[in-house]
Order: sequence, then structure tokens, then C-alpha cells
Amino acid sequence: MSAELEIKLCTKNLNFYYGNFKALENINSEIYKNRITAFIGPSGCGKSTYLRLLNRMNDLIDGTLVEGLVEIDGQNIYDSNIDVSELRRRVGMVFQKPNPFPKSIYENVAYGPRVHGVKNKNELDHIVEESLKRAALWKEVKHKLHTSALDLSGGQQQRLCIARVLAVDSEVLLMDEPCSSLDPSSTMKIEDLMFELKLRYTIVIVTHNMQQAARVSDYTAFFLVEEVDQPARLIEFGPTDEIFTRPRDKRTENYITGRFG
Amino acid sequence: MRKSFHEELGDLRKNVLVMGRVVEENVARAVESLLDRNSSLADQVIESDKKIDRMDMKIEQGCMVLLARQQPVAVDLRMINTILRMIIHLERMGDLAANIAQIAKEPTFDHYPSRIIDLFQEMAGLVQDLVGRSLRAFADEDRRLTLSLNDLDKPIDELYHQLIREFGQLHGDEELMNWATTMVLASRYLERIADHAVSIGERVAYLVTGNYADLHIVD
Repeated sequence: MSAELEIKLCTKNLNFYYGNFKALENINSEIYKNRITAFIGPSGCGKSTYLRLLNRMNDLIDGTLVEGLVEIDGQNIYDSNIDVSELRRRVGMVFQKPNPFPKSIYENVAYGPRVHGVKNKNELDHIVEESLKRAALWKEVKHKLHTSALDLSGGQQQRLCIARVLAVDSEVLLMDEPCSSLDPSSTMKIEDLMFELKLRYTIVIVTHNMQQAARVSDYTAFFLVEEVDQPARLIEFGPTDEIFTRPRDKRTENYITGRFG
Repeated sequence: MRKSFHEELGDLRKNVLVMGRVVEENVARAVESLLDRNSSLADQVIESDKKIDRMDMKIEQGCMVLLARQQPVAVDLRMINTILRMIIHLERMGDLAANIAQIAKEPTFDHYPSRIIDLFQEMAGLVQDLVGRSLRAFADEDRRLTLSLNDLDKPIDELYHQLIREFGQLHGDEELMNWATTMVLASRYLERIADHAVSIGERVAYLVTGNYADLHIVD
């Protein structure tokens, strides 16, 4: 792994509110390009909320308010001149439950590029093949591209959802518990895939599975709500090797060693 | 489930302390058997060393099971790592004590220079003190105590070199020279026991801080 770290995404003094309720407080963090960053913490610690702020998914909820900065390549994504659908193309999301469209495998992958203006059949074919290859699904589906995506196994559906993000030339993959509905062997396939994908993409993963965070990530961020009705805070951020062998903060240590949470 | 993991880890830690006590006792009894040429006490030490070997293996197995089943991290991982490293040192210390006891069983010699015995006894006292402190450092996870161990090893090394010089100056018949050879070995064993105790201290420092800078190479 090269020593130079480039910041892909960062947040500065970020606060986030649902109505009057402050859900996140003063989050400062950096997400490095071509690295895998894992967000960990107990349920309700704000890690998914924070993840969704990174491509403005929380805009879809009424009454939310963002204070502070969220930057991608140095540009604030909450600036008024930002094209949100373009932002979500660059920063794609994979959800906990695979959510393919009830269409063919081919159409699932081709949908995004079409929306973004690709009409040429050959070009679409190429994008579909390339995306499925990058998502390590091509070999399993190349003979049945025009059958329903819903007939795929859960693990295959999840890789299809990853292919869908890759098809629109994303730069960042946000993954919200991408393996929690998958069996161990599908989980391992997704994890192997993440290692390959980080050569081209920046990956952020929210996971409840601490071993998974320890296995796959380069950096780990630990979030915690210390008292009921208090906002979530980023307690510790650092190289995964250090977080899991010698965390600096006692609260991180207590959480990852199962002493609470 | 996690509670039982921490209980199991606590049990392993206690077993290390028990193993450490047996080692500490064996070092003391080995020295005593050598100075008194008490061959039945020496036999007890040699027999007891087998118990140390069994404890070593049992603790290692316990660690392997916890690593496989629990994937411990942070302070728990460092504790298991420390235990795995410590039992290697303790097992070696036990062997060295048994080696000293073995020498105690060899034919005695009555006309040895008392100066050498005095130096040996002084060295043995310092070694036993150092061993006790290293085990206490582990029991209390006392980093400050670990920091003092290296300094306590220095007079031991000096006494060892002084003994070697004394042996080098000995002249006499074969019986004396045979005795001297075994005592050189016994001194060397004691000096090695002290080094293992210092290494245990370094492991404890790493356990407490997680900082590899706390590990020095003992020569």
C-alpha cells in the first residue's frame, strides 16, 4: 500500500439535526482515497446517519439540518450549486438488503448509465459487462443476462447492486451493512471484492460486525452516543491495525472488547 | 457469551500466575539444593519441572481456543499475546532451575573457596528478587515496576562476570576444577533466568501500553 494518503471526503465541524434533535455533533473526519474506512459503533450511534450525509441521502427526510462542511475533493457537497443527482452518481450507495429492480440483470446495470444519457447499445453492453466483471459477478451471470435479477441468490443480488453503482462510474462506494443479510461464503466474496475495488474506488462501510471491520478496513471510525438523547460523536478514528490492537480511547476499547454495547 | 470469554481469559491469567509461582519456588529450591547439596530437594525440583511443562502446554491450548473462538482485540488480544510469550519464558526458567538442581545432584566437593559461594549466593538472591518482581508486575499490570527490572539485572550481570573472573583464577586438582565447571554453568543458568524475567517485564509493559517501544532486546 502506498504511503501517500489523499483525502477523498472529509467533514468539518459537522452537526446534524432531525428537527430540534441534534443527532450528530462536531464530526471531523477524513476518508482517504483508495482505502476502506469502516464505521463501527452500537446501534443508534449515528454511523448510518453519518454515512448517508456523505451523499445527501438524508435530504430525503423532512426537517433535517446540516451544519458544517462535507467535502468531496475539497468541494462542499451542501453548496447550493451542487447537482445532487450528479453527486449521488459519484458517491453511490449499497444497502443492507440487496434491492435489485424487478427487471433483468442487464437492465439493472444498464439503468443508471441510460439515465445519465448513454444510449448506444454497444456502449451499454460494454458498461454492463465491465461493471459485472468488476463486481465479480460476470462469470456467474453472463449466460443469463436477460433473466430476472430477483432469481439471483442474496449474495449475487448484492454484487449486482455493487455493479449498478460501478456502472455509473462512481468514485466512492458507501456500503451500509452490505453483508448482514448474507451467508458467510457470500460475505467472503463481497469482502474479497472490496479489496479489489479499493484499487479504483474509495469505500466506506458501516458494519455491526467488528470482525468484519477488522478484516476489511484500512481505517476505522468509532461512533458513540454516550447518554440517551445526547448527540452521537466520533470517539476515535485511526488505522484499523491500531484501533484493534491498541485503541487510544477507553470507550473504544470497552466497545470493541465487548465490555459494553 | 462475552462474559464467559472474559472469565476464561481471567482464568488463563490466573494459571500463568500459578505457573509463575511454581517457577519462582523452583528457582529458590534449586539454589537451595545446590548450596546444601540436598539431592532429594533437587529431585523435587526436577519432578516439579514436569508440572511446569504441563502447565505451559495447557495454557497455550487455552489461548489457542480463545483466539480461534473469540477473535479477541485490543487489551484482550494483548493479554493473550503476553500470556503466550510469558509462558515460553517461564517454561525456560523452569528448565534452567531444573538444570541447577541437576548440578546439585553431582558429587560434592568440600574445599571450595567460600568467596565464590558468597558471590553465587548474592547473585541468587538478586535473581530471585528480580523473578518475583517480574511476576508481580504481571499480576498488578504495573508498568513502573517493569521499568525497574532492567536496572535490577545490571548488578546480576556484574556479579556473573565477577564469578567468571574468580573461576578463571582458580588453580587446583581435577576435583576442584570439575566443581568450578559446574558452578560456572549454574551461574550462567541463574544469569539466564534473570534475562527471562526482564523479558517478562517488557512483555508486561507492552500489555499495559500497547507500545512496541516498550520492548527492548535483552542481550
